[in-house]
Parts: sequence; structure tokens; C-alpha cells
Amino acid sequence: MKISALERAILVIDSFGKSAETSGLLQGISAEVKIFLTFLFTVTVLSFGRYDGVALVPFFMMLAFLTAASRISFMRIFLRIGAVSPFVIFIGILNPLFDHTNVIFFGIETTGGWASFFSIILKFILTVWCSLLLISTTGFQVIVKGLKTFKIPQILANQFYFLFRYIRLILKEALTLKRAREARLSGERKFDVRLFANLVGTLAVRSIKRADVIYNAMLARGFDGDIPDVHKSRRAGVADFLFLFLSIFCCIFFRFVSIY
Amino acid sequence: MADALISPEVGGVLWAVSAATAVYAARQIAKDKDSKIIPLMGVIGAFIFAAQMINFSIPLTGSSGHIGGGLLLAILIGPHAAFLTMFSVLGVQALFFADGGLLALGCNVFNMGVITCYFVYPFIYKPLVERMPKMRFVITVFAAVLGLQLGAFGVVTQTLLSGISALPFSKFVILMQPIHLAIGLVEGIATALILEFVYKAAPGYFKANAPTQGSAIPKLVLSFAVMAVVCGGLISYFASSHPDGLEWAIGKTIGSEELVAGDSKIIATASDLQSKSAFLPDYSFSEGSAFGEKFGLFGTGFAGLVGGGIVLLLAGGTGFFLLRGRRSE
Repeated sequence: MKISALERAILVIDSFGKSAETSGLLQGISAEVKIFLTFLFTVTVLSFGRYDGVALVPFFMMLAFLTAASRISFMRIFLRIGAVSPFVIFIGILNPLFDHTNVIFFGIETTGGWASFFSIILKFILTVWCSLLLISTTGFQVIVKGLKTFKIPQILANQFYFLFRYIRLILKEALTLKRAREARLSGERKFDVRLFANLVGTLAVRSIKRADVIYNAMLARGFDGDIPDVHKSRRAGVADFLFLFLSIFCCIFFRFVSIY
Repeated sequence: MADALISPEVGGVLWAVSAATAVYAARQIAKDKDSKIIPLMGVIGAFIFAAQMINFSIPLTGSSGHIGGGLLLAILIGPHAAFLTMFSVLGVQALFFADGGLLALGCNVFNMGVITCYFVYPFIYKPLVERMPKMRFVITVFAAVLGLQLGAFGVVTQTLLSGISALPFSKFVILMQPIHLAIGLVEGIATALILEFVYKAAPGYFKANAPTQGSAIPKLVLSFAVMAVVCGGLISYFASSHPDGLEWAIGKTIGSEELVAGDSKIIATASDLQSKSAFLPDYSFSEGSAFGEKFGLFGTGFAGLVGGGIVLLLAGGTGFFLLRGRRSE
């Protein structure tokens, strides 16, 4: 039986939570360093020209090394990359229709349209892979704690904590409502818009009532508008700085030094 | 929107705008001192996340749709809380589901959060519903369509400014806008129906929760003015050295960056009409004009500032007109 988006979302959230608890190279690096490097890596990859291809190869090697050293399953990473954003392919595939410049891409003479299309796909794989490594090797709460070092507003950090706390619960509730409705529709999986609105409306009302209960429970425990920070993250050590400088050096080196 | 479709410059500018809006929203919520909003935002964010994953069938097409949620949130919990909630939902999607990516998060928050919560809701939805409460259903659909149209236009502009797509601007717009018109209509109807259901099932609940806007609007308008001027100037500066997608594609095809006007009378008339009405042709001062010779280098940046100003005046004028109409009633 095909699983629904709701079921897949629950599975994804569960699986990433587990892999962050395993031991490996990236799991031992502080969240702040990993967040900074994810941005640096993304910006470096995206700064390449529209026809660049070979120059991106060292970045694939970097990620492959980090994935192996962190004991993350390559299969799972690639299944997730394959599952996202047909929009990128949709936008990219139109390039060959409009750009007929002659360029050399990976040693093959082709049109600029095809070169830029494949360049978009390569950059897409690299940036998604890098984000997936971040979440796979760091718990969500630890990432939020790390983001606070970069001065995100306290209320937004709290919002991330609350959202993460309740996301699985509400997804389960939505799944229960959806299954019950599907059972009454004799196996038909798609709803018309009115049925959909009633189902989602019910979910909204239940969520609001749940928020009320949570608020009262918080008041009973002395909540006065501030949420104490209970998520401990360790301070960055020598290993973190070493990893940081080595990664920055690799990004700069592979960006500006041609390998072929 | 995804990382692979944007350049670091565009991603960076949009991140700065979205982050500044998040700081503004956080301050507004802190000012309201309504601590109940904190758990509500968390749970309702989880609700939007789940609701986005439930599809419904679109009649006569065989395809299916789902809601975006920005407008629904703004109506239910107010624009500031809605914006931060959208930020967190998009953030979780970018992190867990690699949907979009971290650099593109700024663009996504702008296209789906800033536009809906700080333009469509306060300037279109709210004034219209206050003036014509009985037309709430139609206004919701209209606001959803407008929000999605502006969001889609944002995607087109950001992709083309990044120099990623070779698709000409006009073709990109023609491709994106009608698709999103259809999606917007369906999403609007779904949003309006959900609202009707919630108002019936939990009457009076949300009015108490929605934070008031009060004097925040003039400050917001001012901050948008600053953002528009900065973005207009900065982006135009970057754009000046890279021709736009249309000109670039044509340039590559026929070896010249401007289309050579053919014999067609329509093209000649349209081009004549355009050159008369455009006071900043090709986003710079007219060639040969005294200004053009004097300020050639700054022309493009200046054109960006003026263009941004005109758009801002038009949008602000519409909002002012609507607000004045409401006050006079």
C-alpha cells in the first residue's frame, strides 16, 4: 500500500532524530560550526557559473567523505534527494530550449542550455545533501540552540521548540482523522474540497483546544511569558576549530583553484 | 523555491529582508504581552504543517491541491504571530525535508510569509472584510489568489535576477502566473471553507487572540520603504552588469542584446509607445540626455530606486485609499 505524505513525514522526523544520536565525525562537531559551514558550503557551491560542472566534483568528494565518516547511509540521503523538488527540474529543463551557445561540459561539446541544466541539478544535489547532513548529524533542538548563537529572536527559537514538540502529535491526529474519513469513503483516497475543509477545520479546532490545555498546564507550572532554556549544547573545543578551519580552507581552495 | 535556483547575492538580500521582518514581528508580539499566543503559535504551526500534507481533488482536472496556509494563519492569529509561525514551518521543511534549502529559506519566507502577512492581509483582506463583512468568502478567495500571484512573481523575479534560468522574463511570467491563478482559486476556496467551519465550530475564539495592529502600520510602511529603496538600489547595481534573461537569451541567439525591429507595424507602434511612456528605458537614463551623460554609471541604481519608489507609491496609495475609506465610514 502506498504511504501518504503524513505517514512519510512522521517516518522522516523519527528517522532523523535517531541518526543524530549515533556516533561519527560530524556528530561530534558543535551545532554552531555545522550551521555556519552549511551556509558557507551552500554559498560557495552557488557562486559557481551557470555552465560549471567539473569544478563541482571536489565538493561531491567532500560530502561523500563526511557522509562516510559520520556513518550516515548514502542510500537514505539519495532517496531523500530524489523525493524533493520537481520544481528545480521543471525550471532547469526549459534552459535547453532557449540557450544554444556552444560550451564544453565535462569534456563534451554541448549547448549552454544542457550545460546549465546539469549544472543546476549538480548544485541542487550538493545543497540538499549538505542540509541533510546537518539535520542527520544534529538533533533539531540542538540546531535551534545553535541558531540562538546567531542571534535569532528568542520568540522564534521558542516557536521552533514548540512546533517541534507538537508536530508529531498533530501529524498523528491528522492521520487518524484522514484514515477515519477514508474508511467511510469506501477506499476512495481523494476528498472533494468541502470534505477537505471540514476535515482540516476539525483539525484546526482540535489544535486550538489543545493549545488552550497546554497554556493552562504551563500557567499551572509557573509560566510567566519566558521559557527557560533547558537544551544544553557543549562549548566549541579544539576539534571544532580545527574542523572549521579545514572546511573553510577546502571551500576556498576548491572554489578558486582549478583541479583540471 | 530551491537553493539551486538562486544566486548567493539574491539569497543574501532576501534573507536580510526576512530576518529583519522576523525581528520586527518578534518585537510586536513581545509588545502585546499576550503569553497565550506562544503555545498557540507552536500548535497551530504544527497544524498548518499537517494540513499542507492533506490533498483534495480539484474538480474536472483529475489533479489535487493543498493549502499554503499563510493567509489562513494571518486571519486566525494575526499577521505578526502568523509570520513567525510561517517562518518556523518553512524552516522545518527546509531542515527536515530539504524542501527549499537553507539559503532559499529567505526567499521562501518572503514569498509566502512577508507578502501574505504584511501585504495581502493588512492592506487587502483586513480593510475589505471590515468594510464588507458579508463578502468574507469572496474576499478570502481574492486575497489568496493575490497572495499566490505575488508569491509566484517573487519566484520568477528571484530566479531571473539570479541568472539561473535562460527562460525569457515574459515567457516565465506567462508560464507561472496562470498556473498559480488556478492554484490560488482552489486554495482560496479551501481556505474560505476552512474559515467558515472554524468560525462555526469555535465562534468568537479568534477575535480575542488576534493581536491588534494599532500604530504599527506607519512604522511598517516606513520599514518597507527603506527595504524597497535598499533592494531596488542594490539589486539594480548587480543587475547592471548582467543583462536580464530575455535580453541574454536573445543576445545569445541572434548576437545582439536588443531585438531588431522588423517591418511589423504593431512592433513599431508598440516600441514607439513604449519609448514615449518609459522615462527610464532599459532601467537607466535615456541615452544622449543631459542626465544620462552626467550620471551614466549611477543610472541603473537610480532607475532601481525610482522603480521601487513607484511600486511602493502605487501599493501604499491603494492601502491608504482603502484605509481612508474605512475611517470615513
